[in-house]
Amino acid sequence: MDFKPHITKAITLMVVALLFLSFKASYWEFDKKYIVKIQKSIDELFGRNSYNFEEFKNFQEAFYTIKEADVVLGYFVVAKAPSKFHQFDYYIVFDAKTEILKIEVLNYRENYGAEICNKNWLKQFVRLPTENYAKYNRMVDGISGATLSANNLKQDVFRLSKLLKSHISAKR
Amino acid sequence: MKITITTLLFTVGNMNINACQNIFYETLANIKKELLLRLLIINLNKNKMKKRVLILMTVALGTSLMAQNSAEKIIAGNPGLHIGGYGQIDFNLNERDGTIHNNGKLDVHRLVTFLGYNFNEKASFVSELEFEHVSEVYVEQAFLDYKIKNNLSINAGLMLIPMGIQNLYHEPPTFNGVERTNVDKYIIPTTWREMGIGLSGRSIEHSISYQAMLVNGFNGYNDGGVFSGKSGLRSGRQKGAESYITYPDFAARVSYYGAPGLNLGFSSYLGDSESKAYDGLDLSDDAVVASADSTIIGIQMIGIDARYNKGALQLTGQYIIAELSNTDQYNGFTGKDLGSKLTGYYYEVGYNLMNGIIPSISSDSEELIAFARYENYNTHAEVEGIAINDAYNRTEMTFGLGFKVAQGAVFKADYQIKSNASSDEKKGQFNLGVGIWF
Repeated sequence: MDFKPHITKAITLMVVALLFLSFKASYWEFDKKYIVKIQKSIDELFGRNSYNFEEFKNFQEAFYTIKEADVVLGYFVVAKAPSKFHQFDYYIVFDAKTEILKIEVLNYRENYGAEICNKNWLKQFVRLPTENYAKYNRMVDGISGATLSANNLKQDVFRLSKLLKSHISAKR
Repeated sequence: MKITITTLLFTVGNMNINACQNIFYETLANIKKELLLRLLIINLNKNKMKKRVLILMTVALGTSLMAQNSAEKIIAGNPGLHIGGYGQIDFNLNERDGTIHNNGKLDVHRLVTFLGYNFNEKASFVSELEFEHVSEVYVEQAFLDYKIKNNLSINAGLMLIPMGIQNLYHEPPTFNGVERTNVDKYIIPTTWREMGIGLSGRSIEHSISYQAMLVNGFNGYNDGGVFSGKSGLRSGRQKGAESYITYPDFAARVSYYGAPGLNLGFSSYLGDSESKAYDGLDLSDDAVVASADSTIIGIQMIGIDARYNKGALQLTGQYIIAELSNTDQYNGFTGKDLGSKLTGYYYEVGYNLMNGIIPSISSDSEELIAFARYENYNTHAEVEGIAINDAYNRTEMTFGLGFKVAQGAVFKADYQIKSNASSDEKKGQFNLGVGIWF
């Protein structure tokens, strides 16, 4: 039996895996503070610390599954939405039933509209029904002085929730 | 590879060293990648597995590129150029005065284009170019914003004075009524902008945003007095157009948004107006210095405002008070009738009828806001050495509707009842308007 092709194949796969991993590594290097914050939230929300993250493969948004052993605890997504001139970074943590558990703004760059970072205001999104924007968007109050950012965040949260829901149900 | 090296050589010949270095490293990285790929392919060729592995590689590279893209989506700064704008188009009709007819007015009141550019994560330029009444052109804002820290930036250029609500948030879909409130015209001379340098920051933890700046003051004397009893400080705005300065003024604003739905603002402005009488003045000549001193007005303005949003309900209120000093000498010297205290306030209740009361017509982001506002502005709240003119103590009641067909597009209609303390006469005004913001 000729082992050579298998060895070459194995090496090629390893190189490809390394390439892939090197990109994965850079993925997490965007801001160390982000990871710390997200992990802290997940620790608090799920009351555990032995979970790991698994990125959604070939997915258009940065979604991750939070897993403990083989049990899915929930999901989170890191995303960007526009304010007036800039964009802000935020994340959403979902439970295993894709209900929103927490939203936090990671970096708000605009001089106006930082009101959306208010934790109490963001609490309105917790367990918000997100299947129908038209029906439920008014359950989240607007903010005067942060009209644009508040609306953009609202829209983006509905969009991402929907995306996650359809992805999960498609997998089942 | 040939092409990349030629490009490299070409660029070396044409660009400065810094840019060249970057391109060099990039090209080097590309060459490395190319070499790696070629080596792999050659190696694979030998084993006659070219096709299969190539497919494998394409898939793998594809996925890693996709991974990179979605990471980039998070990391990458914002797109550089931003274009936006807002506009206010009005129809105003004063009611018939007994048998006296008044013509209506149709006006493209203001059309403003935003142009912003993000140079990188830290530096961005913001500008607003305004066409007022179609033919007058102004620059409303033009400043460079540089982030010193994540939550603190330094701004320099032509900036909005942080006083009250509408001077900062004046896009028509953000306020009720066709016209801006007159407190924000005669007491705060919106759009009030001057050249200056400042800090703007926020503490997300404490739910506070703040701005503080050193800015140029009003032009109070320009071969004659500029301020007046009727319109207060409004005519003195220099707007950054070949403006002159004697000493800078100070402006600051803090807003607190800790309670959900509530936004509280505290603004202050301290300083003296500028005067052309000081230019080329011999400071050793006491007589001319004394007369120049009579052309200066000391200004202390403070404001408090509150906005509250809960479901369909919107509440807005604002109180502004401006204490002016030296008005006795100023009026004596210039023959003007400037008051020594200016006050203004308004409170407003708005309710989105499309939130539960009546259904939307075609889209979920529609809003039909009914509102009522009571407003008083008095440019002669107090005077020095002159008589109070009650006609400057003005009251307005406004009732209206705003139909938001989209977040940034609104049709407006309202009716205003205007009166002043000099008589019992009440005048009605009907307004229709279009407001846009994108």
